[in-house]
Amino acid sequence: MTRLVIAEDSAILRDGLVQLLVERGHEVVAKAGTADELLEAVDAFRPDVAVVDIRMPPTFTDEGLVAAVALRRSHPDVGVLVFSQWVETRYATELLAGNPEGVGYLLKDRVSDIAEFDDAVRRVASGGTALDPEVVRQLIGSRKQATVLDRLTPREREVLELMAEGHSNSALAQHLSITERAVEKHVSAIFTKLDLPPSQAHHRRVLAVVTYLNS
Amino acid sequence: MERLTGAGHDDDVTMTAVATQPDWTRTLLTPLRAPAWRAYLYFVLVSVLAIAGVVFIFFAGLGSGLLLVTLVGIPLLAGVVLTGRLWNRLYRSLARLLDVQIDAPPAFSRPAGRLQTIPAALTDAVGWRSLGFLALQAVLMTPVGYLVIVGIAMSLALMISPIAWAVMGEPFVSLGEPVDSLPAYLLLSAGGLITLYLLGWLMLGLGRAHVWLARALLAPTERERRVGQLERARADVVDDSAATLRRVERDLHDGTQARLITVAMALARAEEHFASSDVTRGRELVSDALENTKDTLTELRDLVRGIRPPALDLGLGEAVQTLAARNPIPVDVAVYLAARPSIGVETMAYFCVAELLANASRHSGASHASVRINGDAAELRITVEDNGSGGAAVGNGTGLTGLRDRLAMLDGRLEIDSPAGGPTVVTVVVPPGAEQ
Repeated sequence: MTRLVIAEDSAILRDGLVQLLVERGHEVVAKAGTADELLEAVDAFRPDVAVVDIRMPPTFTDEGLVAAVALRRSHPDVGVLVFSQWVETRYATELLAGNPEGVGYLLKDRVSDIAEFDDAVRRVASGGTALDPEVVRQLIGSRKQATVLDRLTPREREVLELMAEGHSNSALAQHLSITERAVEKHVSAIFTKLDLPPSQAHHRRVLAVVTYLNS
Repeated sequence: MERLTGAGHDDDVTMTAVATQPDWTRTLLTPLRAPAWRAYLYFVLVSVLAIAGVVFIFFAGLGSGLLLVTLVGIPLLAGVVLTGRLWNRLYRSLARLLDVQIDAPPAFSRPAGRLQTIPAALTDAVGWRSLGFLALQAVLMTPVGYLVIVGIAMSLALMISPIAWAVMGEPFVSLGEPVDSLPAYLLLSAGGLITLYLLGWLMLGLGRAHVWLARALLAPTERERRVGQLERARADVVDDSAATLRRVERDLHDGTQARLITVAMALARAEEHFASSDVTRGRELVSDALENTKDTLTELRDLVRGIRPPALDLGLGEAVQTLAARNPIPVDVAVYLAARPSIGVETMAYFCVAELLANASRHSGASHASVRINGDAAELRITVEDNGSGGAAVGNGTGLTGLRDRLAMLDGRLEIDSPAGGPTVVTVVVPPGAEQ
C-alpha cells in the first residue's frame, strides 16, 4: 500500500483521482489545493509519493512544479509525480535535474489507462521513474544532434523511448512482445552506440538516457 | 481647453462675477497679481535666453556650415539638430511659468546602428522645428526684450527722479533743457509709473504671444499626435488579442480539458468495475461521466459564444436579438443598417452591447432596456438605454473603462449620459470599417 498526498486545485479532478487511487489500494493521507498546503502536508505526513498538479493558485502558472522541485531537495525520500494537462520539456529537465530517482511527469490524460497509471505511481513510490511518452518524445525531438540517434535501429529507438519512460527490462519485454534476453541485447547495443556507461539498475538507465538527451 | 496665462485662468474663474457686476479694479490690477509676476519672469528669462539662442544658432550654423565641406560637418550638424530637442524641452518647461502645459513631441527613435543615427538625426522634424522656433524667437526677442528692459529701467529712473533731484541738488533729467522744479519731477515720476504699468501689460501680451508661438512649434503636430495615438492603439490591439487568447486557453484548460479528464477517469474506473462484475458501481460511474459530459457541452457552448457568437454570421442585428432574448430584463431592439460593418467592428459592437446590457441588468436595477443600432457608410451608432438608477461612469467598476479603451482602438468613442436617478443612455459611435 502506497501512502499518497494529492495536490490538485480542481476539486472535481482531485476527488476523482482520490477515488481512483483508493480503489487501486492506495491510501490518500492528505489532499492539498495549493503549493503551500502541499509542502505542509508532506512535512506532516511523510508520504511515499506526492502527486502534484503544475498549475495551482495563486498565479496558475508553475506553482506546482516549483513546489515539486523544492520537495525533491527537501525530502529526497518522497517520490514526486508531477501530473499536468500538458508537457513542457523545460519542466521535465528541471524535475529530473541530476537525479531521476522517485520522480515522474505524466499527462493527466494517462488516468484513462488505470493499470498503467497505477504502475507509474508504484514505480515512483519505489524510487523508480515514470516519464510520459509525450515527455520522452519531446526530449528526443528537442535533441539537437539527432544524427546520433539515427545510428539506432527503429527497434532500438523504441526500446530507448520505453527505457526513458522508466520501464524495467521485463516491462519492456512485455510491451514489445519479445524475450527479456532480446531486450538486454537491444539495451546494450543502445548503450554502446550512444557511448553511455553500461548500467543495470533501471533508474540509472533513465538517468543515463535523460542526461544524454539533454546534453 | 485652452489656458494661456495664469491671469487668463483667473479671468475664467471671475468671469461670472464680471458678468453680473463689472469689476474694473480687478482687471486694472492684473499686472500686479502673482501670475503676472511669473509672466514678467518668463519674459525676462526668454529675453536673456534669446541672446544665448542667437549666439548658439550663429556658431552652430557657422561651424557645421564651414565644416560641411569636410565630412566632420555632417555629424556635427546632426548633433545640432538633436540639440533642438533640448531647447524644445527648456522652452516647454519655461511655459509652465505661465501655467501653460505644452505636450512633449514624440521622442527621437534612435535606429539600431550608430551610422544610421546620423541620417535619422538630420531628418528629425522635431529637431528642425525646434531650431526654427529658437531662431525665430531669438531674432524677435533680442531687440524686443532689449527695448522693453531699457524701457523699464528708464521708467524706474523717472519714478525715482524727484528723490534723486532732491538728494543730488541739481537737475537729474534733461528734456532739451534741464528740468529743475519739484512739480515737473512729480509729473515725470507719475509718467514713469504709468509707463511701467503699461510695460507690464505689454510684457503680459508679449509673453502670451511668445508662448503661443512655442505651443505652435514645440508641441507635437496633429500628424505626430495621430501617429502616437495609432501606435498606442496598435499596441493595445496586440495586447488585447493576446489577453483574449490567454483567457480562452485558461477557460479550456480549467474547464473543458479538466472535465474531459474527469470523464475519462470515471469511464476507465467504470470499465474496471464492469470487468470485476461490480455492475452497480460501474453504472453509477457511467452516469457520472454522462452528467459531466453534458456539463462540459454547456460550458463549451458558453465558451464558444464568448469567443465569437455564431449568430454574428447572420449579422449584427440577429446576434443582438439573440443576446436580448437571453437577457434577464426585457430589451427592445431596433436595428437599421444601411451597410454591414467590417467583421471586427461587428464583433466589437456585439460585445459592447453585451457589456452594456449586462451593466443595465446587473448594476442599475433597471426593469427595461432598449438597444438602437443605426449604421451607414460613415458611422455605426449604438445607443443602449435603461430605466435604472443611473450614475454610470467610466472608472466605477462597471467595465466602461475597458469598453472605452477597446473602442479607442477602432477610433470609436463612448458617450455616457447617466444622471443619478437615471435613466442611463450610453452611446457608442464607431467608424464602420470596410463593408463586408
